[in-house]
Amino acid sequence: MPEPAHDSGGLEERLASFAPRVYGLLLRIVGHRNVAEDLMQETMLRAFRALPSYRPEGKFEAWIFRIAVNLARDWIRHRSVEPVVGLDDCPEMPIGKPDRYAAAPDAPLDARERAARVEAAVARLSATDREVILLRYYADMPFKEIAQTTREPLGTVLARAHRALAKLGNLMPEDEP
Amino acid sequence: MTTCPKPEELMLYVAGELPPDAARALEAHLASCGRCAREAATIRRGQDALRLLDREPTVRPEAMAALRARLRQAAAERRRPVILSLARRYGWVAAAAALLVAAVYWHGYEPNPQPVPQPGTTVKADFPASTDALDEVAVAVELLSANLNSASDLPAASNGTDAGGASTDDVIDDMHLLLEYLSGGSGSRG
Repeated sequence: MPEPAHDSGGLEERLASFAPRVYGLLLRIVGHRNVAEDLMQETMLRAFRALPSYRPEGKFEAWIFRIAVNLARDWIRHRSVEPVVGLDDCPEMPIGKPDRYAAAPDAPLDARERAARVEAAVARLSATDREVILLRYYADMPFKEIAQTTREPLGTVLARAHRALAKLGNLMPEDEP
Repeated sequence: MTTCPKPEELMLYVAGELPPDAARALEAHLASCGRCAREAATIRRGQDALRLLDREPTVRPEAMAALRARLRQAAAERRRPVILSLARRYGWVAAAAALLVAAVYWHGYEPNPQPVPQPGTTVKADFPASTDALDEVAVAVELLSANLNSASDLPAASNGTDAGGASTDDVIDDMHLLLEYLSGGSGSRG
């Protein structure tokens, strides 16, 4: 992706274009739609305000996802209730209604059911394992960059990804994609 | 490769992030080790499973509208500090006067006498051109004028006419700062 435009109008649109993916990442980390929306907005605002100090050492979007993950971690750390470990604990993301949160609404029913199963399995992963595979999926980050973002050793990140993806893989029949 | 790879190494391989030489060696191992081959296939299916999730879920329109509004507000706030810092340092009237002089200078006009705005008055920038920069100046002048009588937002100088003891050089320096601000993103000065 080209470097960000520094005029505020272009930047506003560019940031807005990232909103769905950043929201998707946050939604699956925090498990609450309203919280994910708030954090998404805060992510974009912080990126906007920090842009003068942004140094293009990596991908612009990776920088934004890093801000998002840090905000999500802060939110999880400071909230007064225990973390929601499964989306089935969250009334805003009920399992069994996959058409709302998982696959695209126009996807075939079978795909939506499978997506719902995956959604539930992702929600049951540990927060740290989930964060790694979500960064990989939503932010397209190489594992080395994920390690920098999560401030964990590369080996730890790879072990988390291996464990998480093996769990998801076991959900899928061997002859399915 | 004769020994089975570590899970981390297998993960890198499946993700396509293993260096080519190491990847070839691992591939050779997979061809002869059913257990590792099944493990790699499971991880691949895990990656495929993730792709079933909606990667760009729809954000509610009201949330997108709120985002755009907050970004616009942040953009507006980004433009304010120079003007406000002038006001805090020299008082609103001095800041407004500096702003007007700077605007005229920036626009390349012979400076017709411009009245220093009095508290409570609204100053209109009397420029023929309506460039974005001049629009910004006009908005800034409105802001300054509006604050002349605002008891809640008076600068540290506390009254609108106090220059705060700043030297002429300080004023000129800050005017140049203001000019730089006015010229930002609008090309060279006219």
